[in-house]
Amino acid sequence: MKPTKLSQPQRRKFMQHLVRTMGVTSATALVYGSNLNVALGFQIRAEKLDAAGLLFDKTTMQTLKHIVNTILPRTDTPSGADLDCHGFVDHQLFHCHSKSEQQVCLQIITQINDYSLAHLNQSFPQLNNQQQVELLQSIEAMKGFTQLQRNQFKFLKSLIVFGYFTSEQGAKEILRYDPVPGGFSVIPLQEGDKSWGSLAYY
Amino acid sequence: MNKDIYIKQQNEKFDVLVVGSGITGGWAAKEFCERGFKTLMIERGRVVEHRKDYIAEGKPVWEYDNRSKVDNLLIEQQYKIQKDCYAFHDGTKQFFGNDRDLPYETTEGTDFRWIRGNQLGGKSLLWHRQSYRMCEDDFLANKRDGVGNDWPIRYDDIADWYSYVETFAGISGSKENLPNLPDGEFLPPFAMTGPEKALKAKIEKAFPGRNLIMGRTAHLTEPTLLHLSQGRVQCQTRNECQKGCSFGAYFSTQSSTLPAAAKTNNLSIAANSVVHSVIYDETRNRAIGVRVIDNDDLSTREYFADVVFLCASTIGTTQIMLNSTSKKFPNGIANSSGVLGHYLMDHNYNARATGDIEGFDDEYYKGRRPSSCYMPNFQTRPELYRKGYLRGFAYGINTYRSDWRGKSQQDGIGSDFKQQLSTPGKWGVDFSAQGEMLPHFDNQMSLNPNKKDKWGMPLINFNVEYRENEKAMMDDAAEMGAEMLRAGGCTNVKSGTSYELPHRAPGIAIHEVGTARMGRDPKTSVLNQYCQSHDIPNLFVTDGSAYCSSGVVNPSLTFMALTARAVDYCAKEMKAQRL
Repeated sequence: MKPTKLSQPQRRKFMQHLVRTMGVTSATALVYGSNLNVALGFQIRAEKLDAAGLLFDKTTMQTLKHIVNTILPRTDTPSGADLDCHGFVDHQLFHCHSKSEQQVCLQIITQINDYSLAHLNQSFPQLNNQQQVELLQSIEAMKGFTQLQRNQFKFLKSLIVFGYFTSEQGAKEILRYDPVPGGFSVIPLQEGDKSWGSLAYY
Repeated sequence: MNKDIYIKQQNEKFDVLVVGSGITGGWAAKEFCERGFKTLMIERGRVVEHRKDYIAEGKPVWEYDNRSKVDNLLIEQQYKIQKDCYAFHDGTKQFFGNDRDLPYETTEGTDFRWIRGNQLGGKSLLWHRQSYRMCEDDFLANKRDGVGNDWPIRYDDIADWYSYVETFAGISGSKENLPNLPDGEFLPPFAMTGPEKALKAKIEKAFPGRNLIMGRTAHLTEPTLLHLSQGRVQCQTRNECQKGCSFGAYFSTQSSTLPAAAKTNNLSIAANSVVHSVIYDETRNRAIGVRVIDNDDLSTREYFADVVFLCASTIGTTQIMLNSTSKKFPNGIANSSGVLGHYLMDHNYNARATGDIEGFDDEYYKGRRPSSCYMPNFQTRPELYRKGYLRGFAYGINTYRSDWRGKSQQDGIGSDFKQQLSTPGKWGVDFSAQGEMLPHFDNQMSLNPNKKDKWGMPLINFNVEYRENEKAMMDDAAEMGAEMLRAGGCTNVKSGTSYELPHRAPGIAIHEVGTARMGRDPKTSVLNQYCQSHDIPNLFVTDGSAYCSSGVVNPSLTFMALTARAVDYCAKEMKAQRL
């Protein structure tokens, strides 16, 4: 079977066809992207604040920011909070999720803080990094936490990760981004190669 | 598009009215226009211009208000039903019907998901583009099983018409020489991945007669001069088709049939025209036009022609017909048989098996292939039927390497977890069953004369359910899928069914068919073998309503072929002055 990936001469031919059918400006904008960047909906906030959000009060937001940074710490790539994933979670829950899902997240964040205060005598943000990691690991291991709490935490975690990799930096720079692939083909994968950040559906 | 093509008031008579602008409306208009007939295409929704109105095309995920998800409030107010469609998201919602304006009812204890695309181009903008021919056994099935009525056509009657529409639309696929899935006129197929080839080899060896092939899809993998002349270019594998494609790389009314029809100067389009009913002249026994309510200001107007083609989708067409009452046809136009609205079918997409594929760690893919693999129905004849139910199903088969979406569910906190999220994980595969639904008299849509929508159309009531045959088939499909995955060497195999879930109710496959069925006997069918009304010679119905059985394959390619065939017949009858 023939792969449908375009060779360079085919690519030129494709562009010629496209330019003929829709003109140079539209054709290049379509294939190579336009420079328009429209400000819409959720925007990563310059300050990545832990002030109160749409759904969460200040304390919850602060705890969430530390949860985000514990799950996705700063390495050679930005941390979750660097990409304002805590702000994203608050905004996304408010706009796109049910009341019960909002409640799930609120509950587990509060319970993480409560657990921290009860067992470690400090709020979650006050713990050192090692303690924060261990606390979140104990939720997944269900040590001191229930199956229900584990499920609630997993839901919150998946939202955080969604926010991270659907941000511009997450999709474009941390993963591989290819908005107009020009064909489908099988390619080799080497150690350390990234996943595609350009996806059709989420 | 030339602005003069759009009309509103028109007293002049046309040769043909085509109601609907989706896959069948587009084909009917093109075929009539190219034969020299003055044709009016009537669309209930707004105009969508190719390219110009694809407002979300190419928009990256972070630029959406909510990263491509739709706001709760908007869903609650306008898209309660449409949200259940797999293709519904923030980049496509403009091409879905508004549930607030388009209410319907379901009989207590039943559920129906009616997905709508009310705009120029209809659901041709939103379709999944899988394109398969029905086989000879599909046309014989009702007769053999004593279920429903016999199709008045056989495969040979339609084979050349399949070729005709495939060549024009552009279907990519591989020649396989299978009796249960006839080959067509294909552009090159999309490539299979290593795991797909390996699965194919193992499964085909373990289960002779079951084939795993590349899906056949209406995408230009290598456009011909004919496609380039339509203004279409090669598919760039973005797989964001339902936002609209300015490359014209997948077949839609806008990309293909509409420019062809417009080129003839025989086409006019009346958009924002909700057809209320067909106007019937009892003395001449002819349909003479349609009565229309304006989509925006609710004013009424009429259009007239020698011939009326209803291509408004199965449910849309049937609603119009049931609402077109007269002394002679008190229960709906051309309904002397009484079967109009009955035998509503969809496909049953409610069994799934998934597994992991070991190995192939050094293989990945580039591009978002707009098609998956396919296993055609292997239970096409009674001697091949499994125990406990009639007929069979196909599988859509998808393989992928897991990424952060799946991995985010795994255990892990911190930098190692973060690192893992950014690289491809294991290969996975899913088998999704696509089952036939039997024609059943009681699976019916009817009108509620006491409740009307904002245009004054009586609300539709659906009384449709999956019955024992459909359920038994899905139970078996889930199990068989798992069995094949295990035979294919997969691990972590899981399977299950979803037909009990309300959001997976009939309608959700968007393959509604059967409510104005063809047949040889005018007493038990609405249409003859050319989709022509038995009762009224100049009235034709060429969308899914004409089906006698759902078959297993995705229906759009057959809709196209039936439409082109009907127009050819009708044009000859018109020239011979028999209509």
